[in-house]
Amino acid sequence: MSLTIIDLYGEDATKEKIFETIQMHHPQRAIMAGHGNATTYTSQREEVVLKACENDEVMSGTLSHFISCSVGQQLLPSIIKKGGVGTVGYMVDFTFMVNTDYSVEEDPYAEPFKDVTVTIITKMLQGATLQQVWQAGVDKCNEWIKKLRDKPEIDWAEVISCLEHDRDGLVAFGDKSARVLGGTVMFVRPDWGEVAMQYASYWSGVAIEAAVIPRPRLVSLPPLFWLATLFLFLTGRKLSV
Amino acid sequence: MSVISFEQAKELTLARLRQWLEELPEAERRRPRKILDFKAYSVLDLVREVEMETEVGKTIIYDEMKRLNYVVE
Repeated sequence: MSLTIIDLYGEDATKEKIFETIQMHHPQRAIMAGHGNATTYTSQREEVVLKACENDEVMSGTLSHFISCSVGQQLLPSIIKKGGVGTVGYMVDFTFMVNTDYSVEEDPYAEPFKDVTVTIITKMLQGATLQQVWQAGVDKCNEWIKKLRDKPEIDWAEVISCLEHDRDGLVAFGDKSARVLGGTVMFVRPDWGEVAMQYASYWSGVAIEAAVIPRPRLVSLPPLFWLATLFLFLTGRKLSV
Repeated sequence: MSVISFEQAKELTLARLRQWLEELPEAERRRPRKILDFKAYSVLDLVREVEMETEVGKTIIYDEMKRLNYVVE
């Protein structure tokens, strides 16, 4: 299945371009980073893009993930009421830790949150069901919490606290068995130099890179190749006995 | 889970944040450390938010009590 990615990054992450992309390309999946609250999702420079019960019908027919605070309270349920297939996001303020001694790419405190976000997006891009996408996010949080539990520094205790906060606030609405393969995916990645948004946009970018780098397609080799390999393997074992 | 008053919860949270401050070198205390609602806060900012009982401060208090298995009454 071919995958087309439309990446609205930085100054391209405007309401106008988002709506234009939706109308012209009809993306089946959308990954939306940006500030948010219970009823509102915003993009570049906090421009209001979606408001519950006002214009959220544009998201109908999509499977989406919002890296945005508190939208799970009203906006996401409203999107589903207006025909959204499924959506994953946060019921609470999305919280994470940073250490500005490091670059955004190498920040160890932000690493668990990057991993959780990339896991959720990657699962969605791989065609997992909504339930599996949500579960993968929760499992990844738990994996990191377990991994960091023995670290004595308060910084790491805070990382754990943030992971628990986000995990408990991660929600999914819509058809839990919904999945999409191939088609068009729209990424919205605002970035205007604000520390927090740089991280969220970078994480989404990592997921894009993972999606576009071709993986070895072993399964597409002819069956004869596999039969020959199996034959050689078995013969080799017999000879060595 | 034990029940705790909001005032006690606030004091516990402040005590932990001050302990965190002590662990950090002077220069680190004013630098962004925690992102809440996509806004960056230093540990000193967090202390101020809790002291002033802002919405962010209250979130920090409730999260901390949840972590410690307390219910704030």
